Amino acid sequence: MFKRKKYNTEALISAIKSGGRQEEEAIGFLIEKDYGKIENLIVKRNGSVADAEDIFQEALTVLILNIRKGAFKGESTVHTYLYAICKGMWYKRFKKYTRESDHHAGMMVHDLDEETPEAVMLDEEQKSLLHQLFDQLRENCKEVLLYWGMSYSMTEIADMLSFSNAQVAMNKKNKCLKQLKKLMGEDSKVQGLIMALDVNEI
Amino acid sequence: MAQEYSFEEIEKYLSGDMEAGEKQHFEKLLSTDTGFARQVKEHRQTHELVDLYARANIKNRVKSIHDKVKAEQKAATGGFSVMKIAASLALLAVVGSLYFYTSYNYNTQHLASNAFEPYPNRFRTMGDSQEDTFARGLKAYDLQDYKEAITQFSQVTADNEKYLDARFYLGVTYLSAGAYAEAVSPLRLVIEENSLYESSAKWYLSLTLLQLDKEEEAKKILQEIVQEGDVKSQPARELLEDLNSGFRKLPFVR
Repeated sequence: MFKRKKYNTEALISAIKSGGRQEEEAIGFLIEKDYGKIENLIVKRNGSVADAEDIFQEALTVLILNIRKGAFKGESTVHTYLYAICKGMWYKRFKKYTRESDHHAGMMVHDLDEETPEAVMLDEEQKSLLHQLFDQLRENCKEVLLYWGMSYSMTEIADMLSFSNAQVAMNKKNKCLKQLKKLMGEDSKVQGLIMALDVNEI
Repeated sequence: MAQEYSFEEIEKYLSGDMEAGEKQHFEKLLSTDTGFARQVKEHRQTHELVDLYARANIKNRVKSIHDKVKAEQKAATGGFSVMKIAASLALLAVVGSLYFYTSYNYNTQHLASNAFEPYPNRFRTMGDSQEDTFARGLKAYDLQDYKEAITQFSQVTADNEKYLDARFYLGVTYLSAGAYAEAVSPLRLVIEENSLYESSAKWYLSLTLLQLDKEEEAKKILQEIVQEGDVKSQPARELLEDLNSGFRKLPFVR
């Protein structure tokens, strides 16, 4: 296995903001360094390895989004932050599991922190519905909305998709969003997806 | 009601870009006009869907990187990899060679055969008939006609059991011919007589005993040869070292 570059929190933030190859390297570093601890945490608390992988990947996703949005600025280390997100996510998911069945009853949850984001649990059907919806968008609306959703600035979006400037990108984004809203209104299945999201309280 | 704000203006509000005065008016309408509130909610839901889509895409990317890291870790620590297969083959080759090398070279009989060299014919001139018979034996021995040599040497020893030259050569000829069991008695007799052949006779007797799988006895005799320091002490020492080699502890070496 090739030797990975080591990152401090500042370098990680910068690499993730850069995107592309640099971001991939940084994510690989975080997986190598932190996944083992998270697996321990979740398996000890009655989770499976598959649960651990899913929660960890979800937490990394939240971290990446928060870095892009500027919501995570390195107040704590990335590792502490990831651990806290995972712990909170697992607590919430576990609560959902125990609501659904009493199988896991008796788990100790008092020490868990509730101030962390929740994993959005989409089942396979919901995931495929979501992709189908965005695939219906015309021109490059899918990309525009994806980058916008990833918190890229209008200037960055203009640059990535070869628009002449940020204002053009902004107009494009609004048009695409209108298109999406229209599709949502026409599709009863998407309405069901939105209802499910409301229950999940994103 | 709803027509008061365009899509772009609602977008502005949701993005947090609306000016304070306008925002106040917007929020007042939001709290009083349920139709407008629903319109804004739907707009907000498109944002939520975009967020969800972006998240799903990032998570997919994270998952594929995680899978790559797992594959790398598996390759480094376990599972099948080209390196591992190559290492296994190399190990197999080493073990295989060791097997063939040691099972062949450190086999008792092989050690004995390898140490064996026919005793040279030291006789040149003969006179009487006994010596003629002995000479015919030696001639056959030189030609590796062991059957004939054994016949002649046996003839001599039958006529004169103290004819130690013939006994010695009879033993060595039996050994050379692979008739190990027959080689023992003439060689023992030569040793008992304390003849000048003693050291050589002990040497050939030890080789004979090894062929007969009597290793402990052979080793005892070899040690004697080494202690006595006579002609065969050097090859005896070397053979003992081989017999005591660690390779011989391997289960497939007899």
